[in-house]
Amino acid sequence: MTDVSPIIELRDIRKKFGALTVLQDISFDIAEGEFFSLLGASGCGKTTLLRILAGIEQPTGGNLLIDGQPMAGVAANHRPTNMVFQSYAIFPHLNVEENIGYGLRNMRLTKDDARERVAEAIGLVKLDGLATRNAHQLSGGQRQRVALARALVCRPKVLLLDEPLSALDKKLREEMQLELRALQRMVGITFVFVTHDQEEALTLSDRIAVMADGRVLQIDSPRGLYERPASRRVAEFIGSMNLIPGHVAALTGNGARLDAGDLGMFGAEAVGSLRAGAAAYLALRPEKLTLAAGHAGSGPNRLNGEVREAAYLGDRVHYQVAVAGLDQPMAVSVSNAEGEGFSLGAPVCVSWPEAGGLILAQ
Amino acid sequence: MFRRPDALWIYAIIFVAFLYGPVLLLPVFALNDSNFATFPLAGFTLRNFQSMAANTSMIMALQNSLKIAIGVALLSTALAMPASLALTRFRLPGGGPIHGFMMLPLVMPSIVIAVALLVIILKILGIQLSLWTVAAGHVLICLPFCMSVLMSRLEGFDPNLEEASRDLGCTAWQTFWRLTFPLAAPGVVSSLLMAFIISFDEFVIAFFLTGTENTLPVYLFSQLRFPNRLPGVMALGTLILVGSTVLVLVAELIRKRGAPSANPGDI
Amino acid sequence: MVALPGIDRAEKVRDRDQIRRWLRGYGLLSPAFLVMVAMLALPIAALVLLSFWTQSGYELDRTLTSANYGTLVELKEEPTIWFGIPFYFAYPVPAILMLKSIVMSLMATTAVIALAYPMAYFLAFRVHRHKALWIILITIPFWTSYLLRVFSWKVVLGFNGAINSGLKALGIIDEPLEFLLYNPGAVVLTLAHSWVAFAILPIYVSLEKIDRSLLEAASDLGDSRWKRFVRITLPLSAPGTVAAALLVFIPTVGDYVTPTLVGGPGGTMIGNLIQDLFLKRNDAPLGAAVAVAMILLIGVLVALFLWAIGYARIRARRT
Repeated sequence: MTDVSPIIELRDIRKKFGALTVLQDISFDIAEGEFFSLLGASGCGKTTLLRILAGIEQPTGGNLLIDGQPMAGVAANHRPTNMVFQSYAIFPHLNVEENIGYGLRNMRLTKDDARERVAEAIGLVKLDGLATRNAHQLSGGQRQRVALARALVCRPKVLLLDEPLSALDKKLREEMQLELRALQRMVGITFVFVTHDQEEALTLSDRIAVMADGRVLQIDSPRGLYERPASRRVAEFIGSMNLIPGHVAALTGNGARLDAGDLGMFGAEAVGSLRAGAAAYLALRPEKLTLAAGHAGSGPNRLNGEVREAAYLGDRVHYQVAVAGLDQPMAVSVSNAEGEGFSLGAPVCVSWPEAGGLILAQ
Repeated sequence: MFRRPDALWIYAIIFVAFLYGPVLLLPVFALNDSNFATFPLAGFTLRNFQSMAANTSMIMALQNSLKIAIGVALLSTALAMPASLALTRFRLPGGGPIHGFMMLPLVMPSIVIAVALLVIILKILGIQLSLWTVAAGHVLICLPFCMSVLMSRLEGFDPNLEEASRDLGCTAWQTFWRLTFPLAAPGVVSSLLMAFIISFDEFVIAFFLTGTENTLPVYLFSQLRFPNRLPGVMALGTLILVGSTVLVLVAELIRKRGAPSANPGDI
Repeated sequence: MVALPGIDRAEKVRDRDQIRRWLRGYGLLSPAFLVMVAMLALPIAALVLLSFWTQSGYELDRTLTSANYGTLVELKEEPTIWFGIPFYFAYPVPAILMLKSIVMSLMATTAVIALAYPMAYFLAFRVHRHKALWIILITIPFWTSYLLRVFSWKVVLGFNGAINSGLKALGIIDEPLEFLLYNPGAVVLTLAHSWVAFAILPIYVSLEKIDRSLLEAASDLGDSRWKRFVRITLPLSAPGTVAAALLVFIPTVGDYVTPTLVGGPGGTMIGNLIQDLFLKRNDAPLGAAVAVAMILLIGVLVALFLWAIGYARIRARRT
């Protein structure tokens, strides 16, 4: 994404509410045309950051540039951004058409142009035939579409979305995810999307910023975040991860060797800054592991244990394998295509290819 | 399911009877063909109502009261609207104490307000008492009620709505007229009606602050001394009660419609 | 991160934004606020000032003196006895009326709460359909003319009133009962009736706010209905009930209409004295002193009451 010019530049943005710091050291760029997500648990500051982009909140410090223009002192109504609110904020005294056309009244458009653009937007979000419906007669999904159309019709440079799908039920949410992604490709506008749902972020985004405690932990593509999380927190937040503690025995090129005491020595690719002797983890995704019946002799990239729990999910089976010397049982996810399962208490050997693991700093 | 009559229901019915009973005697005796408010009833008559048309001093007082009440309703609502916006929308330093101060007339005995205004008008400023001074006093006591009604209306809707309007390019002024005012409209109407009723029915302040002209309650009070005018007083009282009740009903129905919570008593 | 030179300037812009926002807020507030200052704060200040002046004949003596307050508390040897209570004041009328007003107002307030609480409870817990209609039904009387509501009690209780003539017509009594009207009891009854509608709303609101699952939890933990009421409902509705009591007590102490219409000579209250001093006896400074003393006394009583029941604690619990 570095070859595209940034539409949003954040430089050391900070935000305090009284004594409470909700954002600090926020510095990154968002490229033009990107679908960018802010992902984090509730209270991590992601919505505050979105509201700072919209101009609804003012940062306590730092600089924000949108399309190359500094935004300090620029009110929400003068910014080239529009927002889809979590509550949708559909104006209750106006109908669908009037809601969507609300922002156009502030632009110098002829009546005909405005009407045409509203009609176009109604088509875009598939609300045909509902133009004169009153706000209170709309379903949740329809309200969400009105909110989307109302923002898009103003042709913002950046569309801000604050958990727009969280109020919808699971099935509708999955439908809307696909539609939202298609819509973004069609209009080509930069989307900044706030969510606490990692699956949603992975499905939709070009890039994701993972946030916690008012800071950005890592920014990467969905694949990059999943395959190469930069820290234990990111690894645990995105998907599930087995962590085997130890300390760095040696650094080897772009890899490292981890001394896990009685469990043995493990080699894997290293992420982040590691020093020899420092505490670290071997991180293993459950689906990178394979199970074999019976205990095997000691060797690289394998551990012996016994099946503690098995959860049958249809397409996959999730096992919890207790390994002597580990506090937590290991999670192993096996494709159901691979023959018979393992019974509880059965001795098994967990193994993985060396490229399947990562060495993470503490 | 059939609800068995329990103690609370019985209590509620007795309570409502107690609440309305004495007042409902006024129309009963006003329509009774007798000079005394006594049982048994003597017979039906409209005479007491018909004779009101010829009562010029009463009609003058009625006109005065209407003039004051309309002016007070408009002025106190116009003052209360921006103040309510300021207190609900801007997290102002000192907003809490200011709000408390503005609600003060709700708990002040009205005789204190009346004599305090009397003192400053007569002894300090040296202004003549008139209907204007009555209206000024009424604006003071109506303001907290108007603000309660408007603030609970303004607090009732999603703060995101105004943010959305700003985000869609409206200035603060445009947002007020395109969004806030239409949404607050039921509250505005109800504030106007309540201020009108309070001013129209108010006695103590009008009694202290009026000059040579009477308002309707002051006129009514002056008639209470004359036993032979009792039937006329009750006829007038009946009309006032009917008028106020209709206005309150309209105000409450407008306010309740679409309002998530309405609690004028919560200050 | 490299520090950017623009940051300081940007922060100043933001400070100015915040200040401009506040100024806009104060600007919106100021018309109503100035009206309140000009018509409430200044007149009260004037009232206090006047209470330190004196009236001599038709002239107002503007030298500051505490003579009026001296008159209110000046002592003498043998007491004036009122209901067995000795008042050692040279001019005992204000003190007696003050005590009497407070006692009558307290009685009325107690009656109001006792009448209003079950009704508010009924509205909050028993009414499921047409709730808004019930609430309007209860509120209407409060909004209709206070003067007429008080006057209607005169019609009910009068010598030739509804009760006396009704009982006579039914042959239960021969002579009208004279004790009905023109006494403190009639005043308390009328005050309670006039204010009860006003007290229901705050109590109702605090009952309505109680999370129903708290009551279910109490039952689940073994409380009977009555115990549950005492342990959960009553404490949680205390803030609204206290607010209702104050909203009734404070204005009724100084009420003027009710004692004038139904009180008779025995039922006069402090408000009558203030009116008398201002409008009839032409001693506005002394009247002002009585009014100021009344406000102070009410303030002290309310503060003591709130302190005694630990109101700050009760309110804090409400979250």
